[in-house]
Amino acid sequence: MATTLVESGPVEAAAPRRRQTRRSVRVIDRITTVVITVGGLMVIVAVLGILVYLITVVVPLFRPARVTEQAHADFFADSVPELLMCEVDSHRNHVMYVDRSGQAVLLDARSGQRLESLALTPPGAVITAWARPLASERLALGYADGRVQVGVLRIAAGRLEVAMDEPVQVASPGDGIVRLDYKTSERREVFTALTTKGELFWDEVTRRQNVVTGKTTVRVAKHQLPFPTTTPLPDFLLQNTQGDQLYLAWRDGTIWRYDLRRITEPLIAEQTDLTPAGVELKQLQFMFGDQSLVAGDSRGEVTVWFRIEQAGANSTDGYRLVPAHRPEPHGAAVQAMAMSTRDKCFVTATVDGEIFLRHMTSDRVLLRQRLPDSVAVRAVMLAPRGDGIFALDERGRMWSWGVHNPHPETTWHTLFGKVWYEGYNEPTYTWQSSSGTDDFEPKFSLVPLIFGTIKATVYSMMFAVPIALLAAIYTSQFLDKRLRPIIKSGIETMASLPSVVLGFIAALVLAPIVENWIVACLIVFALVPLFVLGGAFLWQMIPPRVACRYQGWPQFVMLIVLVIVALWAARYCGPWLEQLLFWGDFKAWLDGRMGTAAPGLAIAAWPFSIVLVAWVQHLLFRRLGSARRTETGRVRMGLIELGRFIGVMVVGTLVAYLAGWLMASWGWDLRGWWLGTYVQRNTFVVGFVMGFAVIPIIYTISEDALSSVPEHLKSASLGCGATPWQTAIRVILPVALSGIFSAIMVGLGRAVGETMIVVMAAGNTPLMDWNIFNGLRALSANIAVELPEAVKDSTLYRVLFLAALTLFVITFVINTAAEVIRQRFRRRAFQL
Amino acid sequence: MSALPYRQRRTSLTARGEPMVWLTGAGLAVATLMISGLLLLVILNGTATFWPKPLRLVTLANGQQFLGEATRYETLVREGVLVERVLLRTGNFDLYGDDFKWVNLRDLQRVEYPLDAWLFERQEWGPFIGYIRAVRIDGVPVTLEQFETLRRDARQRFRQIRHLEKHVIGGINARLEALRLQQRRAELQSKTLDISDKRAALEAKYNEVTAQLTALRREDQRFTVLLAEAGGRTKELRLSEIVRAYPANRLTTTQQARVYLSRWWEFLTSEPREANTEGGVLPAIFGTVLMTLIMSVAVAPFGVIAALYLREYARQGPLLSAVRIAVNNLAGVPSIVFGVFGLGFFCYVVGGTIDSLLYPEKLPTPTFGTGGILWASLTLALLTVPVVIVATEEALAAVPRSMREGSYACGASKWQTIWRIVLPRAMPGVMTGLILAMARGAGEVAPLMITGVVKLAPELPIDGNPPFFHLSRSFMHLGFHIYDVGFQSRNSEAGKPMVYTTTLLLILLIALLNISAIYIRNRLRRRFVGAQF
Repeated sequence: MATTLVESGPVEAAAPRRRQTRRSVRVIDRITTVVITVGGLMVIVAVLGILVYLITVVVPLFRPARVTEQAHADFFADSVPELLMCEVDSHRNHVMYVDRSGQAVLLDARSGQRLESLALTPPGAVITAWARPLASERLALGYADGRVQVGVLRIAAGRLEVAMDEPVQVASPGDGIVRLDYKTSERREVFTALTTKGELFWDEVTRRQNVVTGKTTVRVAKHQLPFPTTTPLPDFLLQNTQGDQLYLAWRDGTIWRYDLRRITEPLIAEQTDLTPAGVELKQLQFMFGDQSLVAGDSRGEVTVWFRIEQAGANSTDGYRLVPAHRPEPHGAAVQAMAMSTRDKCFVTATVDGEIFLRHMTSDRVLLRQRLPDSVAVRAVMLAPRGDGIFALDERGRMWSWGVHNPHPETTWHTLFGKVWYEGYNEPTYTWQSSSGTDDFEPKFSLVPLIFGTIKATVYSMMFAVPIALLAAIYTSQFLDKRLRPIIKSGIETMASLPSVVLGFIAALVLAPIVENWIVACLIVFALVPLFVLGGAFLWQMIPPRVACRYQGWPQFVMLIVLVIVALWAARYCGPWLEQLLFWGDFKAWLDGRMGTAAPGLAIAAWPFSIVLVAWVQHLLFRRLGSARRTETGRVRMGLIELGRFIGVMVVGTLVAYLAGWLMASWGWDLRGWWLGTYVQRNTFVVGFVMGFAVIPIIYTISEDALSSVPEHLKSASLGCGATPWQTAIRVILPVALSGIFSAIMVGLGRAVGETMIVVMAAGNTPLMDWNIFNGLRALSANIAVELPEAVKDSTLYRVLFLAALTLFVITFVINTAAEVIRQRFRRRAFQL
Repeated sequence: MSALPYRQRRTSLTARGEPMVWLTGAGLAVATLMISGLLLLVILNGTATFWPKPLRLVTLANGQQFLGEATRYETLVREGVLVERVLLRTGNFDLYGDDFKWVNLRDLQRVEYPLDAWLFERQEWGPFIGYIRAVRIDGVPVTLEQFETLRRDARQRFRQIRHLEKHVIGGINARLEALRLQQRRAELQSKTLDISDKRAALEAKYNEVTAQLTALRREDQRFTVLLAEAGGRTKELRLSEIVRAYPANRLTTTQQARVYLSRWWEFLTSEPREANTEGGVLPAIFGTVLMTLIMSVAVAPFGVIAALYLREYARQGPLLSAVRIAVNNLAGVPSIVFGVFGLGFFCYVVGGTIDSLLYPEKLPTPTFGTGGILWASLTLALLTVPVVIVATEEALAAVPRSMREGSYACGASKWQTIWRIVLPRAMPGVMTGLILAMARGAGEVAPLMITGVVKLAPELPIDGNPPFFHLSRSFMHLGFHIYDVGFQSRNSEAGKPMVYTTTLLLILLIALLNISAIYIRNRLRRRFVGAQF
């Protein structure tokens, strides 16, 4: 800032002399202004930009699929022949189909030009049934003369590759094969064939390679399954890869489920209806993974069925087929379907040319397309990499769309709602991001993780808040002034302890000790206050002259000794109490293996009954103390108070026991709710160790708030005759309350985001129960554990970014609220 | 607090609330005990770890014998009875399949301290505890007295082999790789580059070193020692495998102290071995210090500039206080969130761009496009910049208005006032903020776990191969070392002593930073308070 100054020397008081600011000073000043303004703004923007960046990574999760290109070509000049199968290669360059006559034809996907044509069948054979396993290069054909032929058919480097095995006589030569399903896995092939006569054959070919000789032995198992000859032949036959589940279905919607887990005793486990009466079943296929059935009917409804275990199910094996998902229906009959070979996506198409790309678990329609003129769809295909949809219409035109569909499985609902996953008995909140198998479906529900964060936070706050607040009140009001800075900075160093150290202590030092001494650890929470209160009641009886002398630090040292004595007592009382209350084995009691619910309930009721009894005795005997206080001696008074204390404790304990027994007889039980099976890495340990991280924060901020209450308020209160305790509780505490509240909020923010303690000591099981002796998986721990493994831009990666965003928002909101409250407190304290 | 209430006889005891006061005091006592107990636990275990313990030979009632160090005693309740047991560190993992053995004190029949029992710290497989049977050269026994001298020579040879393997061959490999990359780069720019001469020269040198190595290894094989464990099974080891050996029960206090110091020296100056559970933590110390330094280099100027802007240049108003609250609250955002941002933005976006522009020849192997010490430091800088901003702002606000006005009155420009008057006065606060930020950064682990820290870094971020500073390399960190050894290693019990000492080291480092923050603040404050006019 260029300033001109008028300088008037005391000696030469003549004409004022004007002096110009040097140019370099002005230039430097201007430059630094620009640099600091730009730099400062940039730093602030960069720091706040974290939020923006996290959001940009998360947003693609919720985008629907996008069409990247669209084309169509004429494949058939006039009418379309009946096609057994129709496929596209992984580069989306070639389309292959097999027609009824057994010709495999390869075409250019863009132009529709025929490139190659090969015959699959032996001469004279008439194809009556066929099967092509999903995501496989193998193929099975059934012939009118009862033979079945399997082989390989694929597109390799722009050419057709065919290698058919010799046909095998499955049925007698007079019976044709009507329906066929064929599944292969690494070591074995299973196929099921139904003949015109109604014979149902189940054949399994296992190949086992001897490790030593390298020779492959082939074993063929043949079985005939029960099928009543009077029933009409089914229209659909589906069998899973393991070969233990078989479904037969008819156009009227009837479905039979076979239980082939013991192949020597095949059973028709269940019969049910996939469609209501009068609605025709048009399409039925297995979803990728062979567990779910997708059914499309003549109304345009699409339903996904899978079997769940259910008590009282109307079946022989205790399972039942249920319509788990009913995604958005079409307007007209479903004509064609195609399943993805990598996830739970599928395509459905209708007679009026409507094509939906859907995802099973999220019930989401990812893409909608409609053919011009509403022409019926004959066949649809989903490209092997999931990046394209092909549809052949009745007029012989092939429509194709390139699809960008990176995150089909996530919606707000799958992330935050209950989702019915395949094989689960009901909709659940589940987090399971990886598994060994290929057809595994990752389950990304953030709810168990948020629950874990809340659980860890709640239990650690239950421990930390009372201790921190009591400590803050004592430090600011009663502690020796010389001790105050030492103690305060000592506790503040606790805040700068790296959390990995706390995690190590929790997991490797405390967890084994707590496991061995769990009852002792629990009764510490009762014994410490009891010993301290007992000590205080005895102290009251000491003559004031003596008491005053030891008011300062000796009292504090005495307190520390008392706490240590209480710890020592707990160590010896623990086993004894375990014997007395929990039949000698607390962990067995927790499991519910022995004992009744009464002791747990009594312990839970104990603090409440103590407070209740104390209040009642206060109402009853208040007059007693005050009437005599003027004339009774100190020791007598102290004795009365001590008697009252002991009385309250004894009566309170009795009341608690009674209450526990009563509640237990009502059938209440804390086990399975707040208590339960003991796990070594558990929330109890986490809550305690998290205290190391949270206590100093709450303590420092609330102590500041308590100490910054204006001194004149305290003086006035004491001057009016209030005791220091009355002053602290009735004058200081109310004024500082908003500051204390903000301290708790800041502590909460720290507990929510704490990572290393939870990673190391919480066991990382994504469960949803309140059991304090069980583990948990928190948002922060989940990020730390899984992000190093997540592939960039995969769904898991983005979901973990969403978890981080959630944490960011939660802590930011909590801290902002705390800050606003604290500023209000400051203003108020200033006004007072 | 005064003794006032006690003089008034008439106040009721309830009003005095003595028990309640004691209850609040109990809160403070518990908090104090928690912190002092924790520090005591770490200090005691951390300092005691390296002291050589006596080896005891225990004979159980069933005749089994174990030789080992008593690690800790434990009392627990089994079926309502108190059971006392001791954890013996028996070593000999390769023979027993375990390093430790719990022994119930009740089952003990006899405890002896055999004078000829030795503890051998080995390069691999953890310690061997047992007796020396023979020292052999080419299979021919020599006197046991020669053991220590021969072992020293063998270790010397071992270090030579290590040096050749790691530095000499490593250097040759690094140069070969650099050549390959040069060629690849030329290819990418459609030029040709002939490197066969240089490559041949390097390969010749490589062969020469390999020959030297083979000779050394052959020499090394000649010297062996035959050991026996408590049960009598024997094991022959090369002398060079033995890092340290001492007859535990024959040591005088001075000798014990010597072993103790030599272990500390090894801990501080050498590389880890045996999956980080033994050896030293030098790479971790190096990584922690370097990362903290890079972080403070990044955080100091930006934090101060942002604070200067907020306090001196920006127009004060509701928007600015909102920004101030937001920046303040960023200090409370969990560190893992910063780690996520660091991975996504620094490693993948910035690092990926750098790779495609500057290192196209190495792709698809990422150079900067993955976790590394630079990105970890920048992530921590982002994490700690709010701390520096808040501290600097407070320090700037504390400079009396009169001083600025005085400066302006003397004709100084705004920048001159800030540079000459305000900043020096605010310096103690700035330094404190910076050091507190360093202390926080040094102790953070969660964000590092996803931005480049590794359990075992093969190379340090600074070494003798050009360009000497390798900021893209992953690194080791004391905090992560604790997590890794204590939590992820094969045998967390075996790693525990190591974890305690590492913890002690980390806490000392952070305490040192905190104490120096306080010291600098006091010193500078005194200096500038003295200069007040």
